[in-house]
Amino acid sequence: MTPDRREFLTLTALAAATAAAAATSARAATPAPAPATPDPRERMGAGVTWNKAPCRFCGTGCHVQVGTQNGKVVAIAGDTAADVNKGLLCVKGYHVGLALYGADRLTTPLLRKNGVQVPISWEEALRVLADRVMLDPKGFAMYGSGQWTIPEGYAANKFMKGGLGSNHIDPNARLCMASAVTGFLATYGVDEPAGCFDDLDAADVIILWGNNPAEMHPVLFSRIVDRRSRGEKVTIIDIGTRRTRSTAHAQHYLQFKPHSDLAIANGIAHLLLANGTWNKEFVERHCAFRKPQEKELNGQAMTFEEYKAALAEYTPERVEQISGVPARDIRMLGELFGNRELRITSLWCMGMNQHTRGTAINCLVHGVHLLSGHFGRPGDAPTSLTGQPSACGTVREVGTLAHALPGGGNVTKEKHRQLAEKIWNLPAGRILDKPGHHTVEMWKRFGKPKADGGDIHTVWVQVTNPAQTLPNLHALVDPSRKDPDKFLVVSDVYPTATTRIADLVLPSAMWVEKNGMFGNSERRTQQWFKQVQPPGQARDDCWQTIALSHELLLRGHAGMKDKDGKWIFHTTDTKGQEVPIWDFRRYYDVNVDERLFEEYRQFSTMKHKNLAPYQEYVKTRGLRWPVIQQKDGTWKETRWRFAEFDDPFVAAGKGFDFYHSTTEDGRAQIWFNPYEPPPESPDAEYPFWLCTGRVLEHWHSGTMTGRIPPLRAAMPRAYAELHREDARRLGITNGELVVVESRRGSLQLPCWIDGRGSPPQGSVFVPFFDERLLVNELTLDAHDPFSKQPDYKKCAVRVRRVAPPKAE
Amino acid sequence: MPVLGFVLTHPRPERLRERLPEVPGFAAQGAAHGPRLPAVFHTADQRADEALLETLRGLDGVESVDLAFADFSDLEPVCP
Repeated sequence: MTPDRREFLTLTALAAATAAAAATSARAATPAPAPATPDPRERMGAGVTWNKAPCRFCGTGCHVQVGTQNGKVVAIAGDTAADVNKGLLCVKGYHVGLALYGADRLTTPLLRKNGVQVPISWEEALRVLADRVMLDPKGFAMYGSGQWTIPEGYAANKFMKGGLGSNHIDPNARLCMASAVTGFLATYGVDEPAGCFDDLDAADVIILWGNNPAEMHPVLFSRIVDRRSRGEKVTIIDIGTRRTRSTAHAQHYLQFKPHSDLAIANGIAHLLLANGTWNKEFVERHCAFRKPQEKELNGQAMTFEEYKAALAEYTPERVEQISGVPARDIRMLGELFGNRELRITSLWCMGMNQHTRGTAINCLVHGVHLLSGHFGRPGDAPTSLTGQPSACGTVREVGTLAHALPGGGNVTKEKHRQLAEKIWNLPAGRILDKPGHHTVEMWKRFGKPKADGGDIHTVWVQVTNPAQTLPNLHALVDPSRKDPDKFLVVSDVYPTATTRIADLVLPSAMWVEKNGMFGNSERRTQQWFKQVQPPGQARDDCWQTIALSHELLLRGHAGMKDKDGKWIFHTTDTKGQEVPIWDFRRYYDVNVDERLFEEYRQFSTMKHKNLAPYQEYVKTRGLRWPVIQQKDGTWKETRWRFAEFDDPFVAAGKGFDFYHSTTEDGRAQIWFNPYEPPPESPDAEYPFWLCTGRVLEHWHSGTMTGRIPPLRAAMPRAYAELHREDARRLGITNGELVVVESRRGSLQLPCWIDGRGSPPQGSVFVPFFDERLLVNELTLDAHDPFSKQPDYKKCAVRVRRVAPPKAE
Repeated sequence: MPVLGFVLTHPRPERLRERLPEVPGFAAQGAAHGPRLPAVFHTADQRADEALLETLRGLDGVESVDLAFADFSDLEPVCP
């Protein structure tokens, strides 16, 4: 790089950083526009083209400006026009551009022949794939992702449920936020947060329930910390099972015994009633009470008196016994929630969701907010976060879960099936009324011989890495690899733990190598255009699904036609001529994303998740649904649902209206769910808790971030984080190899004492990003009875050093 | 050679302004907006980036380090 060029880029970088600093500073208390600053992109000159895109990584939904030159992404800048991040990015934002350029991108389809994966053509790949479907269409399953774009997930959902007439499609988001879904459904009758990220600017108290946003959602956490730096008083309370980087910023750290968060939430509710500080008016007008009933997500009604009696045992002292959190801290939480002058926002993610009582704890946290009336004012919100960029948009809204239909529909409901069949122009009865296999069940069935109930013969994985991320890997993944009747297809961008064991590998385009749309954690739908070509023969996942559908059409599969005999993905140009989108050379002759989205958004009014036309998203950095057209023709997003002051579906004078109430009376449900012990706890044989999770440097299974040298250098391999006292007692020194073993598997990895996080005594933490050290060989596949989400946060293990202790 | 534009959050950014020029790779800094201070660094290669980040995060009083701009036009593809 020449000195002139370096100087030029320095000025460009400074302009961008100054613009971001100004924009975020201006966010403060008043929503004034950011001070005018020169657009840093103008400095880069004509050689660099800039376009918007949401970041590829977590569910925050930061927007970046992508600089491309000569067909390559060469620069990344935070987008100051984006409400979410105002020009800031976490350090992964830098890597989102570099993630495209690992040297080992998959560039050609690979078929396993005589035990070896060999290159084949796309034509042969599609033939092989179609052969597997035609073998028995009902035994063909798709396993997708919260990283699917909205159109990709929609196409896959339509292909499976509307085309094959099979509901065996489920995403990896089952593993990360399914309990949040069931929590919202059981409480409000409709999924996704009522509040939004604006709550972080208005809250006086932020409560982190088993949540570490300093590492997992850094831009959001920076938004909170920044307020304190400006002199605002923001109290952060970290309720967790191990100290993290978020703890370092918290005024209060409440360490609880794994699984006992239900007792804490019940303890707060108990105090609100005992102290008379619950919001009687709000509750009497807008809430009802609910208790569990076996196998029934909506439970059964209970009276206020029954609710109060059920909570009676959750005194601060009893909660201390169960949870280990001192009674004085439980009282502190009770007093905070009892203070209506404060604004309180709760945040959670995997800690509450990856829980065999995930639905129950989600409901309880909503209940604490409803009971106290800390709901529906800016800053007063129970808000779940998501770990993937479109867990909300593609999984929850498009409905790629095994029981779901687009727009919040459910396959078990006749009206919802009828709507889908109408929009998809299918013959009545095409969509099955029984949910397909959820993730754990799908992989169990894939691992069993057909004669033993293994009704899944082929799984097509897109945009995820289950051979690393499923729990209890030996039980869920290994068996199918020994059964010649089972066939695994994987679409991905890099070699992964899953592609390595696959029978057929399909190379995919990623991020700005294709058009796309994501939906972030605050109901914000975002759009971007393709900006560079994918390498080699890598192709869009959406095209792959559509091309398979066309191959099946040619073979006469009746499900690939609608009731008028047209192909289910039939697409025409402006003159009404069919565009052969099954031919990749013609795929971008029309904007397939726009066509699919316009069809999909017809579903969105059913549950008041109204979406705007595709072109509105082209103009913006995302819009939060419901998005409603105004009298002047413009489209307006909604920041706070169910509250009259912002939600257009709440009639004047009502104040609040939970218009999808499970009791059909406009009320939200306040749940009582008792604390119950976990399915597996430490004992004499396996005396430690094992908690798994993520680290700042790596995103999920590390297939992208592992190809970024500085990240790999900073966090080269997984480790076992131990408490100093436990290590001393076991004779383990820092960095020494230890064996961590559960009843399901065993792993050797280095020990880290006083490392990034700090687990309490009797607890060990292992991150899951490292494909060479698969901690999910140890984890438990026990799951929540409603959400079917497994518990990755706790199981029993034992720890020992690899080398025998030295003789005294 | 990556050129990185950061926004550093510090309750007393004027103090941070004095410290930043001592950090290896420092190239420029702008005026603070509230607690947010813009600054630019050059690193030798990607491997140096993480060390720089750790250094910045470790500076006394720094509460967060956010990225605003990155140019990596001269970097080659990498393989693990």
